Amino acid sequence: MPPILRNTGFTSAAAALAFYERRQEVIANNLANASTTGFKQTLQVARLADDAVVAATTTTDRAQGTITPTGNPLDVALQGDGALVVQTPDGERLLRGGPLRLDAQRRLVTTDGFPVLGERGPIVLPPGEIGIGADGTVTVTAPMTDVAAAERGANRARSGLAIDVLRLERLPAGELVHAGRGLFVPGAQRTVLPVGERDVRQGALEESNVQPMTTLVEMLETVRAYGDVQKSLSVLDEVRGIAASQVGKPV
Amino acid sequence: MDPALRAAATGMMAQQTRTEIIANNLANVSTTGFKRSRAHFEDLLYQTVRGPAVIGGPAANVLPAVQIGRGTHLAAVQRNHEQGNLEMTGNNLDVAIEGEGFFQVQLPNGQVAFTRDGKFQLSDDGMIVNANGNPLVPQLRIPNDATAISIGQTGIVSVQRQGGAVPEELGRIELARFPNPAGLFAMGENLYGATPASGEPFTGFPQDEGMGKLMQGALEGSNVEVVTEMVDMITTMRAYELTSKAIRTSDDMQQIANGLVR
Repeated sequence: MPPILRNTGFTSAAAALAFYERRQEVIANNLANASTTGFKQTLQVARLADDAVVAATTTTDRAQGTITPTGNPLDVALQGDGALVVQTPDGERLLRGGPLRLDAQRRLVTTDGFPVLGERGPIVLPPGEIGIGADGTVTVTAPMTDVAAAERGANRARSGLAIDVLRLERLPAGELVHAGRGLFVPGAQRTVLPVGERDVRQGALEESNVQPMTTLVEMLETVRAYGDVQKSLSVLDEVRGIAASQVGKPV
Repeated sequence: MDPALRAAATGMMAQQTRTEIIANNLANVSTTGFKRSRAHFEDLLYQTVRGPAVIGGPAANVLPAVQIGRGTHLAAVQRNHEQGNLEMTGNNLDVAIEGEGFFQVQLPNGQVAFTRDGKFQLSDDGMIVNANGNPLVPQLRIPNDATAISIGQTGIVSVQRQGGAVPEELGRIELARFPNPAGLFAMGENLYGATPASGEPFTGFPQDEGMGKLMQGALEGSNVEVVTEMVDMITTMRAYELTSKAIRTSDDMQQIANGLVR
């Protein structure tokens, strides 16, 4: 005799309820991050398992967020699917850019204080005007301390001194693993972003790619679907009730 | 669904903080040398609700891990040091910086603070002080018999003394710059303090190597753009509404779930 609950509508309906609950959690997180710099929204999709039960899987929407100029020299946004490499206590993580700053040792760090890595490790910047090129080259134009130096420098080309080149990697293929704080876990296979594909924007930030209206519609769909499933579960229960109380009744 | 409620609540709190910052920007739309701020948010830690799993028979049916985020949090409030508009005042002790740099003033505790507010005045003993009476660094004393004060674009301060034939040079105003002005600490009263995030200041004369030039008889207005702030306020309010809808919807779903058993 097969187990009583196998392949009945109950398991499917229960799984569907769990699916929509989880979907609502995902949507709530997306909406909460509607103004998070560089946020990539999570999409939840249903999958049919072999016994007709929906299983939820999440994927990260890699769509580019709008790049907004901010005018702050240490704001960095990336166009395309590259990412900065950041040193965290848990190992190297990937970051889609954001507002960077200098720490007490004049290292280039994220807002959380994690060093941003260049080809030669953490980037320590001498005083001066910081420039970040489209290919990730970090330059510093040193300040002149006195008038004489300024006069000497007047004839010299005013190009900055290249300090290091930002390490840029392609976001891993397949599923992105979030580490929170805008960080992603690099995949097993790591690809350095080729120079031709690098497009680093200094003085700009990438906005969240959440589309509030679409998300709102999804949320309405979710709550309606949840209600529908609940209804079908009630109907199934009624049917069982009838089966139990009416079918066996002597006429 | 409790996590959904909580995630949405963090979103509402984030938008609330953003509104506070926008309100402060708007309140300072006519503050001399004011620099607008913006909030920077980050996503919270993700919860792996299920690791990678293989379902069914065929190996091809591998499900990736399911990660669900738990909301957002305020990571930093970032100040934007873009140039504000220059407003002509005609007052000869009003000085605006066009370009980068900060005036340095000495606080009563000896600490040096930095400001873009160039509304200076003379103290009773002839020192050039800012609106709160903190002396300019390096100190400059205007003699009692001065009839006219002129401040050049490169910071040279000269006075015309009573009976004097030619203007007399008194000294030069120095400016300070920071590698990361966004990291400065706002002390209030239009003053900023250096922090590890801003980096150490380097000083120089106006118009030297990246320093801005001075303009006498002008003040730098606030760099708040009312239209941008209003647009931000509208988007913030809508986002607040949306996240509140997420709370409402999650609650509706809980109610539906409760309806399962009558």
